[in-house]
Amino acid sequence: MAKIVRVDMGAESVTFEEVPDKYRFARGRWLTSSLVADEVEPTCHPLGPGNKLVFSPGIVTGTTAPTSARISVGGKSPLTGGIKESNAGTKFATMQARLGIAAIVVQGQPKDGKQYVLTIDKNDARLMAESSLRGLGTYATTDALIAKHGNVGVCCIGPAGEMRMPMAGICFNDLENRATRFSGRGGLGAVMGAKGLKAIVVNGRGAPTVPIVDKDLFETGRAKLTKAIRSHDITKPKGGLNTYGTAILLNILNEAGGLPTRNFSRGRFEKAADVAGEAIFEGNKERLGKEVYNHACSPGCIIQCSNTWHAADGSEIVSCIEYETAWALGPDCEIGDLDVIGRLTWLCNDIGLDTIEAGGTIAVAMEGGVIPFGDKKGAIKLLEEVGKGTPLGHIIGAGAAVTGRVFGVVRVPVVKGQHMPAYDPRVVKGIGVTYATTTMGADHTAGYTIAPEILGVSGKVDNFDVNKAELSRNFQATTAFIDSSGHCLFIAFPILDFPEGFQGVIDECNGLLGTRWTAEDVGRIGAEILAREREFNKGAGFTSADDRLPEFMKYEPLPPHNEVWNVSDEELDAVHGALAS
Amino acid sequence: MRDLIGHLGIPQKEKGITFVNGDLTDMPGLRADLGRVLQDGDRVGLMHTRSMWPFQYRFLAKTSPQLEKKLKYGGGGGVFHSSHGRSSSREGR
Repeated sequence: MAKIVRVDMGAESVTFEEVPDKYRFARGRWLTSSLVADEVEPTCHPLGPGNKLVFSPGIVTGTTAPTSARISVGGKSPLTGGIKESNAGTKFATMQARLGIAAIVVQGQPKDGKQYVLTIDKNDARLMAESSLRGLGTYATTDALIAKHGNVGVCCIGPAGEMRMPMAGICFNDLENRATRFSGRGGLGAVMGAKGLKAIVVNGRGAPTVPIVDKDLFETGRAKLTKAIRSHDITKPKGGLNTYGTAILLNILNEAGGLPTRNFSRGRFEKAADVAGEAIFEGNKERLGKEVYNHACSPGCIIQCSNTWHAADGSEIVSCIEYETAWALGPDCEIGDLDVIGRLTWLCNDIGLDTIEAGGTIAVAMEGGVIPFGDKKGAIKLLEEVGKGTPLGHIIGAGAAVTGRVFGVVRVPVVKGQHMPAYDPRVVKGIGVTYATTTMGADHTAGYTIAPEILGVSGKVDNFDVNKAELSRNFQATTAFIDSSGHCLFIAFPILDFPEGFQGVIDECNGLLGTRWTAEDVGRIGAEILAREREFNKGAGFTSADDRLPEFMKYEPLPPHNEVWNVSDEELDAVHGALAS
Repeated sequence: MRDLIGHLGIPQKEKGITFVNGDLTDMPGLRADLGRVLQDGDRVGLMHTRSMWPFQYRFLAKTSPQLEKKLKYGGGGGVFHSSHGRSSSREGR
């Protein structure tokens, strides 16, 4: 029987609870958002004792389902002031799932200013005061805990989280025990720091397998999805992602004129090709003398899109450089040097920062005259100031919106206080609708997948003419389900082109849980998750006025297309209109 | 466009995502722009077939009318990522 581990930091207690029936099937984002909506007062201070931090692996996490080792982390965001879920691929997720822990709920605050480590294994869960890790970066923290406990799942915060900076993320270890897998967006690392929790160790040794109600149906689904993933040009072995990683998108967006450059003032960067996925692949080949294909971030991942960037002497600079990271620390800051981007990425990892917010904030600081655009040493120094907690470091660590206000910058590309990712909405207007209307702030992954109707699995076809509001809503709803399943969102590529792959995801869930979900249920569950999140945000004070893009995008044309943002407010409000009624 | 890729020695089956002056004009396997007449000064971007621009990240981006037509009437509602293997995506409909 699955359990909830409830950790009261004020009482220094750890208790095990039965999962309430209302959460019987909920895992991942479904459970984190439900628990936060049910137990957290929307008006609470995100860094105060009333906020809660929830860790939940997905529905099929811990099984043999391919590419399914995701963990969701939820709470009230100190960056946006609204509900937040962000997830990471990590063995921590698999181990927590196999221990039968549906959720770890961290609540309250220690009264004594001490720092703690929570350790969970198949026998017990213990909260222990631990001062030896205070101030350490995530690399040293992870190394210390692996040395002490062996091959375990580790999540921790760096100095940014300890200093409660709103761009602090939560770091999980990858298969090689590198501190590189982040629940990055929205500042949940600051919430963890405010609760005095430096790290959680999950020891899966001796844990049983995840119980499956109908093994034949589960296996049928697993086989369908695996076939779809292994057949698709983007996700197959030595396909696009395995060869070039997500940074394969850099040249595409640059050519499309939608690669935000120089703090969203242009849509092309002349050095884009120097920092793209192809450049990483070719550069590694030159430096190592062989082709290096990407690796898995977590157990059971068969897409394997994570890269490692190597120095000229063959040593590892950092793993990994994703598209968003390469863009934020590269073109957005007008930096066209992979070694520098690698160094900046390593610093973000070690200090414990969201790379999108970090790079975007540096670009805003450049706009404000703190350092020039393209200043490589200056960018490194700014991150070092964040890590040291200097006054300037605290300003940068508070994110782009605050930095923009401090330095009088108008061109601040945020929604609900969170910095936009690497697609300029003036060029890709559909993603702009998602940025504006998701519950999470500007988030490119919130509308990441497909509506079952479009696949035809419900019998309808050809929804190409459907208006953008309905499409965005359907995307967001189905994404919410995928975020709950435990699968990596990149399964969206093959299951879009191969409907039997999408059916495979449904068969997996039905086989595991004994449910009889259909494609309609996928949309229904996703819509329910979104409705709960919007309800929370409404209680926190959000209105339709917050579902908007920054004003400057309405009047500043973006070269080379010279487009402005011209989607109407009415269309944006229509995205969730049906949910609100 | 056909002449250009011939000149560059790119087989048609290896022609991937294509841009002309920043507008998306072709996706792998669709061959939507082979007949397009190029002008002096045009900027043409030819991507390898392992490149990707997922639907969610290109929805409402500037797309040529010829490609839009191919996407719309090629089945799948126009939201696919790759034409390779799409015949299996039409089974069962």
